Formats: sequence, structure tokens, C-alpha cells
Amino acid sequence: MKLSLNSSIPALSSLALVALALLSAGCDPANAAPKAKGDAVVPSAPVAQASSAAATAPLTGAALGKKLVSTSACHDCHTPFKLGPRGPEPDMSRALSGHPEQLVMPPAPKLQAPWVMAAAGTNTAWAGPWGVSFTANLTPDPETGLGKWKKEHFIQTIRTGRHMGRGRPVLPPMPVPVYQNFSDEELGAIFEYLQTLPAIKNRVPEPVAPPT
Amino acid sequence: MPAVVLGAVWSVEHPRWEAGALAPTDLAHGSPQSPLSGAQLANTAQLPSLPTTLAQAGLYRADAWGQLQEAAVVYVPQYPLWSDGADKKRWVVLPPHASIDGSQPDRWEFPVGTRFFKEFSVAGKVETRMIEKRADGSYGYAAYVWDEAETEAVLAAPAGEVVQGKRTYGEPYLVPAEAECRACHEGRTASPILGFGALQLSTDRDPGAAHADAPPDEAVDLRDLIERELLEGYPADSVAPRIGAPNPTARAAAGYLFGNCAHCHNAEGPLADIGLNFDQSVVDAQAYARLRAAALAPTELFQLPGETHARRAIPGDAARSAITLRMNSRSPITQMPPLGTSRVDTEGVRLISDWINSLQ
Repeated sequence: MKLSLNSSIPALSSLALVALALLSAGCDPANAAPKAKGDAVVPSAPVAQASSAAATAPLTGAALGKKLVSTSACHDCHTPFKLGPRGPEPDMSRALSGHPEQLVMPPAPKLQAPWVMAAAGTNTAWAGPWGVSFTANLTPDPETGLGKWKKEHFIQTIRTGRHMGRGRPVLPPMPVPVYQNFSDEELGAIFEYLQTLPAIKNRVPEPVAPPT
Repeated sequence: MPAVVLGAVWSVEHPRWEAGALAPTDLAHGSPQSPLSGAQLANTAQLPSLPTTLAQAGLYRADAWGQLQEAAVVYVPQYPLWSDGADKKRWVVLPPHASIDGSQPDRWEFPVGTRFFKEFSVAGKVETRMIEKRADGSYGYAAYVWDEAETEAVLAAPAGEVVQGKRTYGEPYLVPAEAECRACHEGRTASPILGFGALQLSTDRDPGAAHADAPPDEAVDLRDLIERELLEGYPADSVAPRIGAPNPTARAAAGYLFGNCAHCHNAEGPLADIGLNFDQSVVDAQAYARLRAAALAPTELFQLPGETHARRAIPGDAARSAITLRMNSRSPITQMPPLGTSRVDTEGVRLISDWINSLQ
């Protein structure tokens, strides 16, 4: 028997993102409910910083990148979640630094079909038919992040869906096909913004192949 | 072809050791075409146009389809790239009265308008790929997919295509996306032409090379290129370069790693920082020693199952060496090379294993 998910990757990625709140660390869905109308369960902190002035002049460079990162769910997986007073929230002290190296994951749980994937409460480790994937450190740390990357490497990674544009596949749940809708200019702006972040030294584990 | 790549990693029953491991799954919606959207394809729309059929690409005579034009020069690299066992034919077509600049023996410069062609056949012709050098110094990449009757080959979509039928023994065959062409060919700062250089065309061909095809009589080597004035500036007394390895196994192994891995694993491309340089040279006598040292260096990027440390090559122990383990895998996370192949090269694995087992 050979099972495959009869859906598109973008749709799956959207499902994965929708599921994040329920999968997050110690999240009790009842407690995670907004306490007041307008409260965000999972605030992507930089969204609140988008200024109305930005609407008057087209954003470029790192400013554009900041807006795109803030509105394209990058924090939802690349910033570890912690349990805050109103439920899971991104730990912005580790913004975009990927799966914390201190969080050593036990073997992935065995799932009963049609369940096919599981996630850590941090949203930074994911298990599925592909094995186990860990979200990357996108900060400019030279040894563990993107500090030695060039803009072209970042663009090629999204264009090809492969690490540095030529290595192993970028693994689920990274919604690569969604981000392929960005232009080279937009991807370059995202990279420029990422390079302005505080460098966080955090060596993300290599992915784990599925058991033989 | 990212969607196909992702389709493979989503496959619940993982086809890791099977032929066609990177075959599209249901994610392709039953279509043989890649499901990339128009917006995704639009990112390549500004590229200069490529001939839409192979008939227009300059390999065959305009007045006699199927007959090579006179300027088409046959060549056979001595260390060929593994392509899942496909039969390959290669040609270069230089512009009239133009020649290759070989004054830097390891880094040839090709004249604007040069076109390289490579024809891939399984049970029958599947595709012919083309690389052309453009006036601005950039390179264009095309793949032309043959029809079943082998009467015409048409430009593939930029996102790549999947061919499956009698000519592929029923197995899915992935025609690369334009971005995948660049992924392999543009992994150095030098010319993206692979397989056509001084070491590959040496008159001193390696009898131990894996998958070494005997060149047909009409195939050119270094001497021929110089005599026909297609190669200028190259030292005429260096038509027989060879890898400076200590024994035949080491020579063939270094040649294999050069021909199959060095287009990414070199000292100048995006992966230079990992310190795995498999490039070989016709001028640097230390190239083999450097390759050996890189292979023996400890690596922390790849971990063997159940172990906390891995070595790229453990002298005398190929079975626990990351290089052979990854060559022997077609799991998308683990396999090497990471693209362009869905079948393990058993002859290549055997050669590299023999080499690692012979190391002290």
C-alpha cells in the first residue's frame, strides 16, 4: 500500500498553520481562547509595528522584508513558542532563531492514520512521513544561522525548494510553494531584513530520516 | 521542481530504496506536468527566450532534421555524471570562427553563442538538454522533451516535467526545472559547463573510471581541440593530464568525486564553508591530497543513525562512512547527490568503498 496525501502542499501548509494554536506547548484550547474581542491568540509581534506611514510610500529593502516576515507567518515556526499568560506566544527573545538546540526531542510518536504529523509545542520540530524536521535559525549568526549566506543563496533556496538552492529538500511544513510567489526583489528584501536581526547562536539539529 | 521534491518527502510509505524514489505522488494531481502556479513560473518570464523546439536550437541541420550540423563536436568526459544509467550523448557547437580560451587550464572561457547539448535515452530518447552562453556572459538552460516517435523535441516548462511511458520502461523520469539546472551547473564561480574541461578530455583516459564509455572515433580530446584550433591558449604540452593519485583506485575514486560531486562540493561556491572540496586540477599537484584530507576530516553536519558523531570517510570502514552511506541512500533527506538521480549508483558506491577501505 502506498499512501500519499491527496492534497496540495500549500493547502497542507495552511492546515498546519491553522493547527498551530492547538498543537502549541501545553496549550489548552479553552485557555487559549481570546479573553477579549480583538485579542490575538498568537500574536506575531512585528505585525503591530507596521505603521500607517508605510502605506504612503512603497517599502523597499529591509523595511519591506520586515513587513513580509511579519505578515507571512515566518515567526510561527522559526520563533520558538512559549506558554504566556494568554496562551502560546512566540518567544521574541529568540526571534527567528529556529528550534532551540537545548530542546532535545524524544522519538516521534507513532500516529494512527489519517494522522500523519506531529509537532513540538514550540512549533519548531515536526514529525511526519518525511522524518523529523527542525525549523532553521534565520538570524545572522555566522556559525549556526544565515550569517555566511548571500542573498542569492536565500533566493535560490526558495526557488528550488532545496537547502542553499542545491542540497536536500527544504522539508515540511515549510510552505515553499507559497513563498515561491514572492519576486526575487521581495525575497531579497526578506533576506536583508533577516540580516539586521540580532544574531542568536543556536545550532539547530539536522533533520532525521524516517525509520527504515 | 520543488513540488515534486516535496511530494516525495510527503509519501507515507517511503520509497527510499526503490527506483523512482523521487517520483511525483498524488500531489501532482495526476498530471504529468509540474503543478507550479503561473505566478511561480512568472519569476522566470523575464529571461531571454529560448528556442521552443530542438529543431531550432542549432544542433541539427536546418535542412535535414536529425542530421548533426557540421559544427557539432562530439565529446565524452572520462568521469561521467551518474544519471540513473541513462545513455547520454554530448555535443558542443561553437560559433563560426570562434574558439575556447584555455589560457587558464582549469577554467576555460567559452565564446558567446556556444551551445552544449546532452541527449538522454532510457528505452528511447527522452530529452536533450542545452546550455547556451549569452551575450551578457550569463547562461541559458533548456530541456527539450522528445515525443514517443522521436520525431521532435519541444522545450519543457521552466518548472520541469515528468515523462513516463515505454521509453522510460514505465518509470517516471524527471526532466529538470530550470532552477535545478542552475543548482548543479552554477555551484562554482567559474563557467557552469561541466564535463567539458581539460581533465575530462585528457588523452590519458582513466581505465578504472566508473561508467567509462569508450569514446567513438569522432569524439574529440584535448589534442584534437588544439589541432582543430577550437581551443586557444591551452599549453600544448599538457594534453594528457591525470589525477595525481597514488594508485589506480584512488585515481578513479577522485575522478568519480570530481565528476559527480565537485560541482557543489568545491572551494568557491555556496557550499565552500563546509570544507569539502572534491575539485581536481590539471595544474595543482596537491588536488588529490586536498580531496583526501577533506574526505577524512570530521563532520558534524551528518549523523549516522544511532551515533552522535560521523566521519565523512573512516579509513578501512566504508560501511560507516558518511560519504558511502549517503551515496547508498535515496531517502530525500540523506541521499547524495541530492538531485538528478533516484537510483543508487552501485558501481560508484563500490568504487568509493574500495577507496575508503584502502585508506590508512
